Amino acid sequence: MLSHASLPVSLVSSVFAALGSVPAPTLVLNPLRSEREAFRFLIYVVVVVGAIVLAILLVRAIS
Amino acid sequence: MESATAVGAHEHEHHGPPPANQSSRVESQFLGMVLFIISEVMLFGAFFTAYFFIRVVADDPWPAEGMELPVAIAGVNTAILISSSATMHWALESARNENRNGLRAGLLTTFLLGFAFLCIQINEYANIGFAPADNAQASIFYGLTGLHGAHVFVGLLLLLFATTRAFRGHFTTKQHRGVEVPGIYWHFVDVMWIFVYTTIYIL
Repeated sequence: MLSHASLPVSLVSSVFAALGSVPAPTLVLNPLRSEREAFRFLIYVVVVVGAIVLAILLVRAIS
Repeated sequence: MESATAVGAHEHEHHGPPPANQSSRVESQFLGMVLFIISEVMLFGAFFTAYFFIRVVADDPWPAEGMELPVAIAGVNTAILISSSATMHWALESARNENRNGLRAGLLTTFLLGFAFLCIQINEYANIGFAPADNAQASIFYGLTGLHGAHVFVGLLLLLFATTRAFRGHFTTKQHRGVEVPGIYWHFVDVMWIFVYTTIYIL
């Protein structure tokens, strides 16, 4: 069973795999360290901001 | 005695000025871009502060009455920009994997997608129906999107240099700093757009 914590990680990994690269795991994500980490950070931002926006729009629609 | 002779011979072989002192383990080009991006985050922060002041502190409506923002067109633009980040990443991975055609195609596609984004934004400005001087909301709209557009323009210049160099065969598997640094900048511009699009157009 996929846990909540691993969901964004697996999504990002699949995006990287589709583009032909498997990034080395790092302890702390630093988007200014390399282009790979910057791209990974971008995918995280898209996923997290998208989830927040969906939640807000859902609450607005309900209330 | 031998070491003194060796040092003397080494000094004799050296020509030109002494090598520049490097006090950091980070390359100067890389450090420059990192410091630049950090300063840019603060610049965008100032504009976002003005935006939140209008919406939260002054409690003004967003957008102002009579203003209509083209959410769908901006959404297409968002998709274009995120796609361009993917092609940028593909270009750099191609450079690492000795795929020169992939590098060239990736950089060229990134440049074209970024150029399309900018053209769509200019067209949006031409047809949006309000001016920056109309009200505070319009000023913030043009300020934030215009600031971001200026960054896209700078990114396009960096991409133009990188693409030209790629077509001249400048990058290798080990030496591709000229693609990596514009890549980090391009992703930063994309991240900023995600926040701009979310706050200005959607929420």
